[in-house]
Amino acid sequence: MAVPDAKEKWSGRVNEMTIGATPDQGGTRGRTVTVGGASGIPFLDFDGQMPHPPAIAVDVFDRPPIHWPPPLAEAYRDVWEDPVAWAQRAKDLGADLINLRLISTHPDEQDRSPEQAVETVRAVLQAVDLPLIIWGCGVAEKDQRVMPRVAEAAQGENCLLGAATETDYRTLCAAAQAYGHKLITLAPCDINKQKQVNILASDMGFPLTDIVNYPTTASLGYGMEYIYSILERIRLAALSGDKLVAQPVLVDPGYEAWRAKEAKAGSEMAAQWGELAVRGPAWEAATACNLLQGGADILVLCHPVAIAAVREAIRLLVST
Amino acid sequence: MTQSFRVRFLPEDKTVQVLEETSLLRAAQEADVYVGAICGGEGVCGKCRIIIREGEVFGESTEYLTRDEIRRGYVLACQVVPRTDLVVEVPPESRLVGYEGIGRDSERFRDFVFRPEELVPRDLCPLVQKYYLRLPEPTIDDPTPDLERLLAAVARQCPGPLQMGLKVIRDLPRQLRHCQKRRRGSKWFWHGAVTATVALRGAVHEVLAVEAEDNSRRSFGLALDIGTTTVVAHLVDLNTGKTVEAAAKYNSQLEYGADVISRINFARQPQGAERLHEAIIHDVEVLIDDLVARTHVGRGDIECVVAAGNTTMLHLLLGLETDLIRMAPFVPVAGSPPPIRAAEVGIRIHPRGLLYVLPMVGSFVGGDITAGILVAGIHKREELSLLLDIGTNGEVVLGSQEFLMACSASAGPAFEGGSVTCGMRATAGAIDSVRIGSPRFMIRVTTIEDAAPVGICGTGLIDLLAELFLAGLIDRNGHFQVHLAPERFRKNPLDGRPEFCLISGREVGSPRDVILRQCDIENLIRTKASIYAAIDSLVTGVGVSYADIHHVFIAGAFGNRLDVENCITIGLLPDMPPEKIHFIGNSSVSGAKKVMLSQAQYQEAQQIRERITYRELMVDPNYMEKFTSACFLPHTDVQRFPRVLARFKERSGREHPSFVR
Repeated sequence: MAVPDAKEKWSGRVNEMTIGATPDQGGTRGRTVTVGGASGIPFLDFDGQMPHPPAIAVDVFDRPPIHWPPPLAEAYRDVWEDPVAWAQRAKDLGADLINLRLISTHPDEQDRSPEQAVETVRAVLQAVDLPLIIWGCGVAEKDQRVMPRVAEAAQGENCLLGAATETDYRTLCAAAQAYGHKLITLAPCDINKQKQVNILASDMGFPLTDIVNYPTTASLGYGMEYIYSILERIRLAALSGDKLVAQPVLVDPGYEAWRAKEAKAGSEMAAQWGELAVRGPAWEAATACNLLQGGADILVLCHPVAIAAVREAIRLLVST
Repeated sequence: MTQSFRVRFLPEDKTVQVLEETSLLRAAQEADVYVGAICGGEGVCGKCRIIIREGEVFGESTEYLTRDEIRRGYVLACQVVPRTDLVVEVPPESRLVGYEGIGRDSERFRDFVFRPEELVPRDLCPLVQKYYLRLPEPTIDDPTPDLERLLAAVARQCPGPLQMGLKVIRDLPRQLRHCQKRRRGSKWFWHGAVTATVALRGAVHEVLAVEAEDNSRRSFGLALDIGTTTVVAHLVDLNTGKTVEAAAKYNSQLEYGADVISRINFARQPQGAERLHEAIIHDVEVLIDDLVARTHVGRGDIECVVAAGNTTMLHLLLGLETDLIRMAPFVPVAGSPPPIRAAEVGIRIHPRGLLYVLPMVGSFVGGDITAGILVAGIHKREELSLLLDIGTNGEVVLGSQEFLMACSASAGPAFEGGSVTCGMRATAGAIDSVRIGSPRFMIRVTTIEDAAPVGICGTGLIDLLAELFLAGLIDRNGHFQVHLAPERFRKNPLDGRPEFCLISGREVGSPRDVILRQCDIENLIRTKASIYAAIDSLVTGVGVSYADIHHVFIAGAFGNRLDVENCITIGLLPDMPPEKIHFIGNSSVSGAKKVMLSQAQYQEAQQIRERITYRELMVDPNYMEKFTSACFLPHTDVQRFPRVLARFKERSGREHPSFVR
């Protein structure tokens, strides 16, 4: 009996998007990163093409994350005082993108000024030639002052700026558009909200094709399946031709996995849990690899071991 | 020792003596002064605003008041107790204008006044009928007893089994004869002309009364709509089918909570159920008094009451347990209670008069919906229709002669004025329509009775939301676009968020500004989304498309004042040609009337109840999905609303960016 042809025929595909700009594109990056473009379910090459493997962005903070659990702290303590050195380390670890978080501008932290944030961004851009993802501190009023300045300082570099939400999108949209950057739209675990934020940005004239969806992230054991199913639904909607969610998707398993008790508790919790130094990175890598299957296009990671593991997993998944 | 204080309420100038721990809301209730409290005194609605003119109070009530209001002496009545004797003013927005003057002065009630074009059913055969009978005098050859003689005559007019109470039988000889007292014994003179009042009681008819002489022309019934907010009564001449007079008033249970859930919660308190039952019976009595005073009809001429209303209201009317209604598996005590003696619940009409209630489908689809289906006739139409009852609970019915499916969405009180800063019921001074035009976003409003604006009612809120959207002053998420008209917005002194100033109190000589906050818009959008999602859940659940729906019937208090285009613009109603949308007004009371005037319709209402399938939205896995999609203006999927985009273009002279995409 003949095996029936079970191949799906999709009418749409995920938007292809390039982040970063080389000198001949008006920027100073050594290379650019292109994500998206998939015309089928992740890693099912008989179903559709996946022209670009998922990209790895590595976290860089603009102030030392002194509360990081030991395995993470050990990996970065020598560079975490200096975002430039840290970004350099990220590149050495094989990052495709630098994920720069301007946490120090948070009013409850150092409350650094927009000028200081601009300095950090300039320094990182100068020292490392990878494309940049830049996040504000998450406090809308402050980000509205910081991000336009940062966007201006990074003009021409085609960065990815985060994050526009349903309540605060105007300033970031306008800044990204004015200075030629891409935009992250954030909608916590809800495909309809994701569409709505994208509509709001688009209604302002921001191209839907310059957006990256960020449905937030949950760690393994902490509701990861919700995010997984949102990733699946976004991908299926994109493949069915829904332009409102046809964007590549970013997830943040690095930050989320290390919030899990299982990733940071010492061996006093339970002997059979094993060594924290192994367990923490494993938790991060396992979370990331799952989300990879769901349809993540950009993964933000932290630990060097996890970065290497996820890189290897991607290699194995895309090679046939 | 417990102290007590005198509290004097202005402007009504009613004084009451209360104990020191009595909240001013309770004091107002004792003084018979109405102070609006949507939450029933739990301190969460912020509507029972009163002003302390003299004296001191104790308690925290700052959460819902602005700094300026606190300085002017505003407190929330449910949150404070007296410390001294007090003089308290109830400001207009907390008062119920039209509470005393029944059925005449409020816009809300204007819709309830009967309409002359109202059709009298062709098959006029009321639930209660009077027959004038002339019985042949008994003779030695025809010694049939009085009872059988009467029943035989009734049966000729009204075939089928008959029943009759002992009281009526005992009185029978005296109604059929004159009895002359003599020194020794008495002498009986046959008269034989009586009027028999016969009522439908389930499968049998009951002879309610037998009176001498011809009274058959005086036969009246009372059709009731027991609404959560309003109680409406129509006095109907059962011989002609015509409505003699109508009256309406606010449901006195309002002070115990605005929606059915808070009423049920109140009913769980000690004496709570009794107080709710007494309140509604009191309302019915007040309405009867008013109707009797304004017509030639006496209480004894009213032989039946037919009541429609939601399940909770009808349970409270009958004094049935309501607690089970709100708990899974949501089982009411009775779906189709048999007719009972009206006197049993305390309604004083003809002593043996009956109370009928319209059959209820379930806990959240009540007799008002059965009535609505009956009035709209969707159960008899070949083509598909939708029935919407927009209230605190939004009920939706989809069906045709082949099937009927109903669901109920908990929409929240936003369209009734609750959960919106300046929301109010449709009484004098409520803004009931809003237009925002050019140049410079010029605002035009109308208010009920042209009074100085003190708040916004449901139709005004729908208008305002639609107009803000069409003017571009809010985005599709409902967020203010302050930069487009900075002079129209101001900062909320408490949280610094922008708020839209619709009416400046100073300019119109009103005690307060009428504003719209961002959180108000969020509540309105959630309310409209829950109703749209309920419609969508039914329509997609049944597997039809909106194009298949031929008629949309809108029942409820909004009546004809609802602007259909604006309802579509905000995505409360699906995008449909307006000619498909019909207002059927208060179908609850007209359904009750229909049933009262036709025994066949009464049976039909029972059949409707049996035919309806109830769809529980809570178990529809797609409901939340549909709800979040609908939490956008007009909807996330703008392709569903082509009219709105056309309207936007017409208004602003440009395409909406969502359409260009």
